[in-house]
Parts: sequence; structure tokens; C-alpha cells
Amino acid sequence: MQARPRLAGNPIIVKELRSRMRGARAFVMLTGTLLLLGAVSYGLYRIVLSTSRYTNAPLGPQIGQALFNGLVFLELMIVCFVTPAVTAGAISGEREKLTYEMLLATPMRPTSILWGKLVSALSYVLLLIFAAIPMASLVFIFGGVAPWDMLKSLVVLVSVTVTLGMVGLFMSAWLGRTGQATVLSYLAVLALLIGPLLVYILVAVIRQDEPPRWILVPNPMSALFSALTAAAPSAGSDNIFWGIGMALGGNVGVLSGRQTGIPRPLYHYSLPLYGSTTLVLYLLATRLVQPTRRWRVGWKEVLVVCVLFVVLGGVVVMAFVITADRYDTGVTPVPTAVPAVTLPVPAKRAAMNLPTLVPLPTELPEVASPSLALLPAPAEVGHVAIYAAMEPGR
Amino acid sequence: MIAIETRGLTRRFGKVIAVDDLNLRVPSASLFGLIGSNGAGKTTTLRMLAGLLQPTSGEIVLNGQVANHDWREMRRQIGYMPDFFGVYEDMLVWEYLDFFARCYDLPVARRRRVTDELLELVDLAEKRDAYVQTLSRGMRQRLCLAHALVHDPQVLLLDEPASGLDPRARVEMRELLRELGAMGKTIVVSSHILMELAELCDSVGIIEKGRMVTSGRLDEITRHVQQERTLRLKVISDPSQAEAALRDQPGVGQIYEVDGYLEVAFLGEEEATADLLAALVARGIKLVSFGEVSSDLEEVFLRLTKGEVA
Repeated sequence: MQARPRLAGNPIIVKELRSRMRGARAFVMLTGTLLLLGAVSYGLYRIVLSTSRYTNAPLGPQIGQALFNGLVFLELMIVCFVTPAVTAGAISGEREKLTYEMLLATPMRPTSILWGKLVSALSYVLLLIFAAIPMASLVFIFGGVAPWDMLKSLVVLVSVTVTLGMVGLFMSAWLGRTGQATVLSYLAVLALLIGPLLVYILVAVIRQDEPPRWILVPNPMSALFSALTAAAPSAGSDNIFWGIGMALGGNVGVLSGRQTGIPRPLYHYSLPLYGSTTLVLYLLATRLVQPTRRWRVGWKEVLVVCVLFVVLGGVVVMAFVITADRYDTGVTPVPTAVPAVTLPVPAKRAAMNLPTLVPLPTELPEVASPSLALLPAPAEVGHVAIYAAMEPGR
Repeated sequence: MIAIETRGLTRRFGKVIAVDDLNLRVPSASLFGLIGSNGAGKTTTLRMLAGLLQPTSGEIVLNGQVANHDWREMRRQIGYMPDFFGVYEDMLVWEYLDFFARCYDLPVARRRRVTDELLELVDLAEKRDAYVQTLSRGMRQRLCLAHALVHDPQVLLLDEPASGLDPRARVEMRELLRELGAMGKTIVVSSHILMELAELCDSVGIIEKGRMVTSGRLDEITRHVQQERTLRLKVISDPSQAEAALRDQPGVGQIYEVDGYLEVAFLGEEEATADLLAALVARGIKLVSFGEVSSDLEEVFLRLTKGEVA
């Protein structure tokens, strides 16, 4: 009775796509979005050009990174505000337009109905994202952004889209009224965007100290910027998005030299969180769309759910284990004097000439000069390492 | 063979009992009319039969199979047309049928053929490429009926298929149902108008406040209810004398005087009626007219459900 969603031939996908892409509306909106993105990119380009200082750092990468960060941030905002609108009416709209009973009277599985609704609603938002890729690729002209960075931000964008879409769909199935579902979905999005930041700031104020970074994990903006920190400007880092990005990514600690809490980029935690939230909401929604015997769950279904969670957990654990050597903080302190700190580069990544985050020793090495100590911070090989200088004893 | 059977079917909504211990038997390949006033429980019954509503208690047997867990398979045997329904916007008429054909997993070739055949059947072939929302009410009703037929179900559950239609569309809908009946389908059709179903249905069930008041072949019900007849006579001799003579006869109930006529409630078969007439004539009552007030179906219906609707 569970999870055998068909992508090809799911009647709802076929129907919704036919209706949605009919007429000029969809194309006008797509064109509008791309024009907006283009205009914003051009504006950013002019701003960076006029504000950049002429240092010995090349200008190209700065422009590329500013443009890229600006574009993905804008796309995230578009995703956050379009997704609830297209999914919140998916189930409740059928109920309100009195088409739902006829749909339920067919032998379609609840999972297929939900899957069809989710895919067809999200396909439009994903179209908005993917249509912007060619334009975003313009940043490669300027450099400073690796294809890998683009892939990472795409993954985060897509998973945020799917999660928010599932939130909207769940609200739609749960509340049964499009108006209520829309309001509640937007509230959920706002809570995700602002809630963790508020808590983060509040904790900082109360504790008078660096708050733990994990507070920001649910925030889509933090997840996105944590995926982009490798694209943070190496020198002359004065564009707005870098500062915002560092702050949202919970990397204030890096700036002040006192990084606390989890050692990985936040999105490593955000993605599993989004994945499991989506799965839970999907499973709850499959019960909500059933006309009869909603909460009577057979042992088979329980088994399927268990397997799904085990698979999800397994994938996450695998990913963490595979990447462990990059983020493991259990590095023995380097006992030598400061200038001799070496940055170990994993051989494979070095050979591929990719930027690499390397852990620095957490313990402070003895410093000859009493007035200056170097604090450990993540650094980029190939970029200039970011060090924070502080007076010892603080 | 019995196509649909319910045993003690009951559904409550909170404290309200919408359907109360309903026992229904619909033989296969017959047309069954479910008749009741608004709010009598017709829609609730049909929704339970379609597997869209969980009965509070009781069970449903479809073609000899008890409907319990695997509604998915049961649904393939049922075509359901709700009383109020909407249509999807931005959809063509053939796409609408194609969508439901896909929902029932029909293979491509059959989907195309069925769509065209059904449009022909419900007389919408020339509207094939029109938008669904541009159809008139009668056309939508026929399209909805067509959607219930895409998977060629044995059982059709039609909830007020003729409601809101003009007389001409009503006749067309009735013809359509007759055609479907001739195709050997079991059809349960509900209505709040008895006349509408009278000549169409093989048998009817009259439902009132969630209870089945009576069910069976229509003429049987009529005869049963009509055992009490109303006789109307015109007497030119003294009416009080006639009244006294009538009182002496067996089976005579209330006697009213209406517009110079005497109306007599009389319990008895035709034989007894003839005897009554003979007795009156024998008593020297001068009659110029003696006849039965024919009670039509509406009156039967009102008498069956009288006073029970708040």
C-alpha cells in the first residue's frame, strides 16, 4: 500500500503540467524571473566595480563571487516565496473545487496522489531555478567560483525547495482550506528564515558570548551560505554578501577567531534535517489524504517507514564517514613555532587542484612573540588563509 | 445475484445519525432508485458504498465480496458520480476523460478508444476539444457520468444525476440511464423526486431520516400503500342519510364533504369497493358518481414520509 510512486504516467503530473504550462502565464512568469535576476546581477556588477579597492588581489574573482552570492541568495528568496504559493492549494484546492471525491473514488494510491501533486507543483519552481543556471554560469567568466560551488548551492536550493514544497502540501492536506494552508505555510517559511537567527542573536545577547552554531542549522539562508563560504572572497572581502554570508553561516566565530561548536559547514546538518522533515511530512500527508481508515496503519507500512528512515540515516552516516578526513578536528596540535604551521592537503584534492578546507590545530602553539598569537581557523588552500590575530591571554 | 448488499449500515456524524441500520439489496443488472427528501441520508449512503466514507458500523458486500480493507480493488468495480462536483480548470474535455482513464491505469490504446466512445455515448463528441469550464450544466453532468464509466464498472452509483437540469436535459439523462441499464450495469441512482425515477427503476428504496422506510418493486410499494383508498361520491339524495349508510359498511373510515362530494377513506380491495357500491344502491342512496381518487406517486411518497421531516 506504500510508496510506489510512478513518475512517468502519474496521471496527476500529466494533468497538472498540461494545465499549468498552457497559455502564456507560465512563460511570462519565467521570463520575468530571469529578467529580474539579470537586472540584479547587472546592478551587483556595477556596485562591485565601483566599490572595489584596487589591491593586489585580482578584481575578476571578487566580481564573480559577489555576483554568484547575490544570484543564489535571490533565487533562495524566490524559492521561499513561490513554493508555498504553488503547493498550499494542491490538495485543498481539489477539496474546494469539489473534484477531490472523484479523484479519491479512483484506485489511485494516496502516495501517488501526493507524489504527483508534489512533483507537478515543484517542477515549476525547479524550472525557475534551473532556467537561471545558464545565466549564473556567466560568473565563470569572472572566475572566483568553482563549478563545485555551483553544484553545492544547487543541491541546497533544490532541497530547500522540496522541503518547503512538502510543508505547503502537508498544510494543504491537513487544513483542507487553501487560505489557511497558504497563511500557515508562509508562517512556517518565515519561522525558518527568521526564527533561528532571532534565537541565535538572543542567545548571544544573554550569554554575552558566541552562540552555538547549530542553532542556525534549520535556516535555509545559513545552509546556503555555509555551502558558499568556499566562494568567500579571498582578499578585499568587502562586498556585502560576504559579511552576511559569514554571519548567517554561523562563521562569526571564524571572524573573531573563536569558533565554537560543530566543525562542519552548517549545510551538512541542514540537508539531513530537511530530508527527514520532508519524509515525515510526506508520510503524515499520505494518511491525511485517505478518505477512510486514516490512522489505521498496517505492520507492512510500519516496516516500509522503518526501512525508509534506515536508508536515509544510512546515507547521512555514509556521507559523514566518507568526508570525515576533511573535517575531523582530532588533529594533534602542531608543536612547532608559528610560521612553521603546515597546511596538510589531502593528496587527491591537491592533485585535482581543488580548494580544500583543512583543519588547523585547535591548541595554540607556543609563540615567540608575547604580543601576538595565531588562532586556528578553517583556511583555504590556494587562497590566502584567514587568520585572526588576538592578544594572548584572552 | 445480488450486486450490492448492506447489512446494518450505520453512519454517525457526532450525535447526528445520518444513516441508521440500513439494509439494502440491489440485484445485479438492475436499476435501483434511492429516494428520500433532502438530508435523508442518500448521499451518505452512496459515499459509503463508493468507499469514500467509513461506516460507523455495518458492512457492505459488493458482488459477494465484503468491502473492508482493499478498497483499491473494489473501486475498480464502481463508478461514482457525486451530487455536487467541480471540474478542473484549463482542461479540455478529452483530457478530462483521459485523466480519469489514467487514474484507472488504462493502457494507451484503450484510453484513446474509451475516451472517444464515451464522448459519443454521452453526446459530447463535438465538444471533444472544448475547455471543460465552458460546458453547460447539463453537459458537465453528462461528462461527469462519462468519467464514472471510463473503467467500464459493473456498478454505477449516481447521486442525483438529474439535479439542476432543465426538463429536456432530464429526459436525455433518463435515456442515458436506460441505455446503461440495457448494457447490463447495476445502477443505484438517488433522487428526491419519486416521479423522476418511477418509470425508470426496477425497484426503489424510500429512505427517511437515515432509515429505510420501505423498499421493493415500485408497484408493490404503491399497492401496499394504496390499500387505503379514497373514494369520491356524488349523492343527490340527503347526504346525512348517505353518511349513515356508509357508516354501516365495513372498512369505511373518515368521511369528509368536499365541494359537494363525499370523500370516504376506505380500506379494501376492488371487490370490497364494488360491494360497497352495491350496498349503497340497495339502501336507496341516489348516486350520480362513484369513483376512486387516484393517488399518484408523490402522494404515496408523502404518505410514507409524512410528518417525519422536521
